[in-house]
Amino acid sequence: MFISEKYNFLQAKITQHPFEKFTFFVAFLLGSLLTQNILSPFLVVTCISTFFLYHALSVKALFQIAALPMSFMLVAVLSIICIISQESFEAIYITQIGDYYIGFSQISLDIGIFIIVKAMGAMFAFYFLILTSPIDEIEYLLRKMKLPDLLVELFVLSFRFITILLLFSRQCYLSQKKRMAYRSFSSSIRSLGMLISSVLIKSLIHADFSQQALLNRGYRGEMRFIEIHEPFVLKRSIIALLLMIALVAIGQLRL
Amino acid sequence: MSYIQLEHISFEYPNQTLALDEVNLNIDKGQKVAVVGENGSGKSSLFLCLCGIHHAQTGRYILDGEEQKCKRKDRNKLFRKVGYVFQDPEVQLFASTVEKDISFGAINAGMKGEALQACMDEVMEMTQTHDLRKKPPHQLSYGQKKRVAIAGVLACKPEVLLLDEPFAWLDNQQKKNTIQVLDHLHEQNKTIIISTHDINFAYEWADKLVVMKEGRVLATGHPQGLLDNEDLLEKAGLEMPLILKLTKKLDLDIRPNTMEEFLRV
Repeated sequence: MFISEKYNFLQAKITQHPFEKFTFFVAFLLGSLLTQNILSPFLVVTCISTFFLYHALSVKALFQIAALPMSFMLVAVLSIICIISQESFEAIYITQIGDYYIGFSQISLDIGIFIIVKAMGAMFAFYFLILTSPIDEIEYLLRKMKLPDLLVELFVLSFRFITILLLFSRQCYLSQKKRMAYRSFSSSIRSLGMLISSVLIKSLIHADFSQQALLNRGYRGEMRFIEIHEPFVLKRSIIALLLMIALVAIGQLRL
Repeated sequence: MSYIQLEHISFEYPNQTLALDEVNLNIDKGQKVAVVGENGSGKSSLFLCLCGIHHAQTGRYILDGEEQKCKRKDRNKLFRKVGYVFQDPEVQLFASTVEKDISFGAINAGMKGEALQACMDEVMEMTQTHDLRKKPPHQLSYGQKKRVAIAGVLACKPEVLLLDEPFAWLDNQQKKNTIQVLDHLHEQNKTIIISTHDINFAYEWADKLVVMKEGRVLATGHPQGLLDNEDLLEKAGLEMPLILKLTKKLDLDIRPNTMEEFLRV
């Protein structure tokens, strides 16, 4: 299940105009990225976490969503923190393996922490957007940003049909598993190949039927839908703008 | 002159499967028609021809006195007159929310502003999908998806509604709700054509029955007359409706239309 589906009660509660949510997202994102210190992204993470907790997201769920990108981030940051050299260097911790010295210095550690906090800030800004905006609001924003219709429609159709294919793959996998399809390495490879090919065939058949269904409802190469949103409140967007200026200014402080 | 006229319609798929073979059919406006037959008898192909997605290689298709050439331009006109609800609602629902999916056909039919809103409110009320309007389709149950699929087609305001197996995988309550929607549409003098394997429902509901086998129409007529014919039922691979079985077993002279009537007798 997608993370935005799992916590979709937030989307039901926060019904402001999508553009207002987007301005806050931009404020948080720029506040996290255009920074020279860790204070600004830290404030973004704190601010968004408080917002989520206020809207009844549990602490456990908050930690779960924060932990999701952590594995990727830690692997990436580890390569920055870790220094491998043939010559000895000034370090907090260093060890020699063969001809090589491996360790980390104060500077590499500082850079690592800075990058991880910055990335967490940006990640939380994205969480803010996807957990508060349902897919149709994201679609509305993409259309307003004048993205080509083809890309927006591809985005909507992919989001819709990927759930069907995932469900089908899961059913197919379970049916294979119940018939001992994954009992050995070779049978697992064979079964996986069959699973992939059946998903591909299913997606082709599904695409064919979907096109017929679209034509039957007057599709002529353009998808147009009704747009109903809460009224846009300028005051809230001005608050978002001020927040962005404040976060960027805090980010420029030399601590 | 009938509202829908099919004259010697034949349709063959590119893999040379003859789906419809010299089909002749007349359907009047406002009629409730049930198409029955085994799997692969050509019911879905007939529907695809009727709504203009497939066009027959031979024969004539006349709708409301106008011959349908089923070219691209005609097809765009045809979708406003003939709506098709697919058996699997998954293939039909594609928008990000229920509300948007329902609006898609209505906007394509040229509705906007208040007319669009009124049309959507009407179909959402009829199909009881108002509470689901903000939900994405993949979060709905199968029965709810089916209702949204029907609403999406009804929003185009078609005069003829084709429903392919509308009760497949539905529970009893959902089936009753769907029948209510069909009855409501019948009151609006819409022509409703459904394909079904539920012979008891076809017997009780339909004004006209079309029996198909291997792409051909074996017989058409009132369900009471046709479903009493044991030779026809055997040929078409159909079962006799429960009401008729019971009346035969009890040696009754009358042929009740519904189970309620039968129980009263």
